[in-house]
Amino acid sequence: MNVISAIQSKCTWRNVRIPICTAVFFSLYYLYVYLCIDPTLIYHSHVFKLKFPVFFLDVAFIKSFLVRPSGFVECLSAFLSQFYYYSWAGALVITLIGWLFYMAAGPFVKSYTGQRVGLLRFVPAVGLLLAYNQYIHCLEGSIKILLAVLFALVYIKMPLRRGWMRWTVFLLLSVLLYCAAGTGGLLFAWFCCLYEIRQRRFYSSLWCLVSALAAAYVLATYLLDSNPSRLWLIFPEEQSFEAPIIANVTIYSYLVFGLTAMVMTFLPRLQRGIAKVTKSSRGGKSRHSSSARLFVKDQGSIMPFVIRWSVLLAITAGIIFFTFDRMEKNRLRIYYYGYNRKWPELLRQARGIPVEEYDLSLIHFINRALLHTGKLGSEMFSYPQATRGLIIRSQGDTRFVHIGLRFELGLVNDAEQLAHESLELFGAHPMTLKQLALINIAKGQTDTACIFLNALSKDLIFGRWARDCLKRLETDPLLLEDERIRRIRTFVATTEPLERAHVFNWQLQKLLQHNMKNKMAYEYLMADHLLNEWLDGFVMHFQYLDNFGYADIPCHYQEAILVYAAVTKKHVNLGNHKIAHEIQQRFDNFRYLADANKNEPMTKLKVLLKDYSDTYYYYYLFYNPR
Amino acid sequence: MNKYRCYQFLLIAVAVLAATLLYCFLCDSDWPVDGATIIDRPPHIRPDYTDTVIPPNIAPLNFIVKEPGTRYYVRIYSKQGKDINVHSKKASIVIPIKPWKELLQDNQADKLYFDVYVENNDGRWKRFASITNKISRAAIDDYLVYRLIKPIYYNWFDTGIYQRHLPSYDESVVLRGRSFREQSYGGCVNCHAFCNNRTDKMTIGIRTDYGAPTLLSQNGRVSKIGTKFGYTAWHPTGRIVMYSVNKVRQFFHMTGVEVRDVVDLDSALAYYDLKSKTVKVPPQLADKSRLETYPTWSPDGDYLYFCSAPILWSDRNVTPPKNFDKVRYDLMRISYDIDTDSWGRLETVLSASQTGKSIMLPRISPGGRFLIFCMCDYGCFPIYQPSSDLYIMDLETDRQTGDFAYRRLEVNSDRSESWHCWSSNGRWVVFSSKRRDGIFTRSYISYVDEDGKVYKPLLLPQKDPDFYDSFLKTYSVPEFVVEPVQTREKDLADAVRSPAQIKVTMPLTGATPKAGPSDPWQQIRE
Repeated sequence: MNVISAIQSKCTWRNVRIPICTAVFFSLYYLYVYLCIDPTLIYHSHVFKLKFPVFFLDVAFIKSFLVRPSGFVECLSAFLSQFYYYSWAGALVITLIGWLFYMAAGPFVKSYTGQRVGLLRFVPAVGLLLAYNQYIHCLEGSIKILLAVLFALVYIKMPLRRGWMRWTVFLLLSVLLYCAAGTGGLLFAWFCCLYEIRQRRFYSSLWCLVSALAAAYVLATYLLDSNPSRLWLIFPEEQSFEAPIIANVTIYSYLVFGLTAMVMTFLPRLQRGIAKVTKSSRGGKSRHSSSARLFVKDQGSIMPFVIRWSVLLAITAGIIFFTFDRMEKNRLRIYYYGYNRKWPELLRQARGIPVEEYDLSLIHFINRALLHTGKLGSEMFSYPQATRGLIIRSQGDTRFVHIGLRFELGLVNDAEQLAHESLELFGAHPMTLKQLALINIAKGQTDTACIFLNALSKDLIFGRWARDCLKRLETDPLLLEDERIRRIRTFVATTEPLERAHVFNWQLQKLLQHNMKNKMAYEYLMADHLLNEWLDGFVMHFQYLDNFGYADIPCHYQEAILVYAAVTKKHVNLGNHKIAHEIQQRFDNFRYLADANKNEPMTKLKVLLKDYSDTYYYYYLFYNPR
Repeated sequence: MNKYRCYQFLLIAVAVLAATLLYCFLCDSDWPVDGATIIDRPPHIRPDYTDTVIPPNIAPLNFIVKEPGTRYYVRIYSKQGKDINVHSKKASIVIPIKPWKELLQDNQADKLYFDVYVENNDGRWKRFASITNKISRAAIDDYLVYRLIKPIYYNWFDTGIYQRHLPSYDESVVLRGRSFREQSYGGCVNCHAFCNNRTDKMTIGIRTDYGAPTLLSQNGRVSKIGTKFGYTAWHPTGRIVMYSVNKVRQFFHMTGVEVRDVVDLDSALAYYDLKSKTVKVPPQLADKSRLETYPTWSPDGDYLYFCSAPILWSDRNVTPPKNFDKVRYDLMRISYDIDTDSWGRLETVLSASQTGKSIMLPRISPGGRFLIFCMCDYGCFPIYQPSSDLYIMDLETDRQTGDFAYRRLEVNSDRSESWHCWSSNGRWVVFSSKRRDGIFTRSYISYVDEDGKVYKPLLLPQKDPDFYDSFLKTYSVPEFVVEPVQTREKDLADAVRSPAQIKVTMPLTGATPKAGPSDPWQQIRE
């Protein structure tokens, strides 16, 4: 009875309301990350947006991390990043990090200010959300900062009174954390330094700063696999982050945490100073400054409980609303659908993207989706187009988008080249290894494919697929039973062309010369002619239309024929086909309106844009590829 | 929980652990192979360490038994010394290093046997015919220096030169591109060259934000020469370094197994004098109508051997140029007197018209008797040519008969073999081969006897016998050295970053190629 009453007395609303509200907050946090941010988009943004960390279940791979400063956290972060493949699991990881920040923030702030922090404990978790709202994968930096905070708490809470003991413990923790978390170790030293200043132990504070830097320098120079010929190289982030934006976010986060700790250290002293001055000038009572109210405890606070929590939720919702990068999400979703070959979904997604957000990568994926859904010849001008939208041959990272397309077309050597470049520049990401394995299988290079598959078999996500594939290769070394591979193999040219060029149009023609059943190459060739407004070439290749079993002439082809006839006054042999009546009529109307407004180009553009922007002749009239 | 209970719990835990360990030990000791069924063939193992000649100081040749089974037992023995018994529940056979060393040392010039036993699913053992290898009397150099890179095309991120201690599996970094990088992409470390298989004199070519200089290390002191050395050969006296200047271009094939190809649009040979710190170009070696490359010295330093081909195109800026696949290099030599710094007359040692193939990469054995080179269908870059094979020429016989006869080595495969290097005692040769998969080059080591017979090669052993099956980097430019590289990685990296460099000027005419940081044609070498 006593026990029950004791529990009842503890379980009052006043006691349980904070844990309950916190649980609700982080449940909403999780749902938001899972449903809105969708971490699988970050996983699939590898190459398109960032170099996503890889993790292999392999002793040598894990060992390779542990020899460099911050290697442990890099390894841990790489491991946790793999969970992003499944949105629910990725959201769990992000929420867990946010929650740990929340848990650590309270005691951490109290150590510096001597006061409870209240709802400001949620700030780091919301900050994390802010980064993910922009699709910045900052897990590694977050873990480093978290470890710095946790280690600082351990140091602060240790009941060590003697100076030498404190110094020794600090040095041990500092060395340990520098090895594990690199710059996180230096941030820890900064926290400890400030804490010692607060405790008026100035020699200890100096020790924290100097010994940590010296230890980091010695470790990085002589023990760990790093080359700090310059002092700044002891900050290993400079070496480990490949994407500048992630490096910037991480470095700014260090600065924010470092400065916050500094403010917390000196603010109470400043307040006291101000209070003294105020007291002497007023000759009596001191008052709390408004900034001091920030650190008031939960109970007995200025605002009622419900209002404070409502404000917290409202601010969080506001931040989420105003910082969420919807366009980036749309873009990443397109990449995701493209990689997973979900073409109808991709086209649905593309319809929601405003014209000004289109870039060559998006156009590439849309054209590929149109091709696979059989709509390239009839709907491609319903979407924004660019002459280089079919394929990008540049030295930029966007070229890696095309590995899949080149492979499907039968340009396997091109695809192999790009995939190897991606492997070198972006690391052995499982998506790249899978592509290389498939390319080599299609080329009949089973031994080479097995190297990539063996490497891939150590991956947490794609490992099973790789092992299954290796098993299949044992009985079917060329994967003859795989329809897609078999089809691509028939597209691959077997003789090297005498003349050498790597213009996409030329490559497509070579593919067609090799195999006149390569419908993909044919449609891309025709699309390339249309986009470059090379109608002679279009008409020349139009004669092969019947090789590919079209029931009718695709809509844009009909439009192009009408344009060709109107411009050159030449007749095009349509064989058994004919121009549809509606298309002819629409073209006539277009010509009438164009002629009627020929002296007012802007009016003409506006009038025609409304009804004809999805036609080839509109593109032909207003877009000059040259 | 009181103190007594706590002890009790601890005691039980220890007992359970001990029982488990005892059980495992008893199970493991149960290997009844005596009545094994005899299989009349050797087992399939990977890597193929059968019928080879083994250096007496090489690390254990760990392998995988490619026979289905549930347990594996391998007995390794020779004429003398203790047998080595390896029991394994997996097909991976990892040989303990200490007894292996003892066995090899005790049995030089004798045979080494591997008896492989495999347990079937039904619990019955079978014994395969013994695998036999021969242990050589001649030791191999202790270190192998090579470059590890991914199969790269235009870009590079993490290239590095490493040294491997051959009696063990220890590998350490000599210099990595990431050691001295300024930006996110690492610098490129290119070919490394040593003088007489020693590391006191070494050059490394690099390309980075700091330009494309060459690092020169002498007795641990590093300096930077402000020009890029291509293929490099130290004169045996160590007083001059011969190198090629190549206007290299890379291009790609639309079909075929190997995507990449390389052509020298122009090239010449030059040398750097260490004493005067100047570059000189003998006119005979910088003929405007020919491509000169791949220099190598005879061990006495009296002759420079190199490869040379006529330029078949007029436009030296088009890639690939016309007739790129018709360029075939001759093997040439020229006499040289180091004391007077004077060059003699050019001689054709072996012409491409005679062989019908392009002759590349001549390397002469330290005794001066044998010359190994590779030949491929065309061009200057054998690593990208599946047709590239290794050939040997006996210079002693040739001196007597006046005819430079050569023969193809038996160690070749149907894929590319190239980049060979002799050990300091001339009994071992290491070369790069793509025989396993066609893309990734691996280092193979072969024994060469007094008559120039080159024996079946063995793949550079690794601790993990599966290692090569998933390793995504290639081993390129393997070079034997008798000692580890003395210069620290940090010192080399510092030298790269340092603005101080030895300024040199190329005494070349306008038509001859000139290397420089702005010209990207000093491509990375694989």
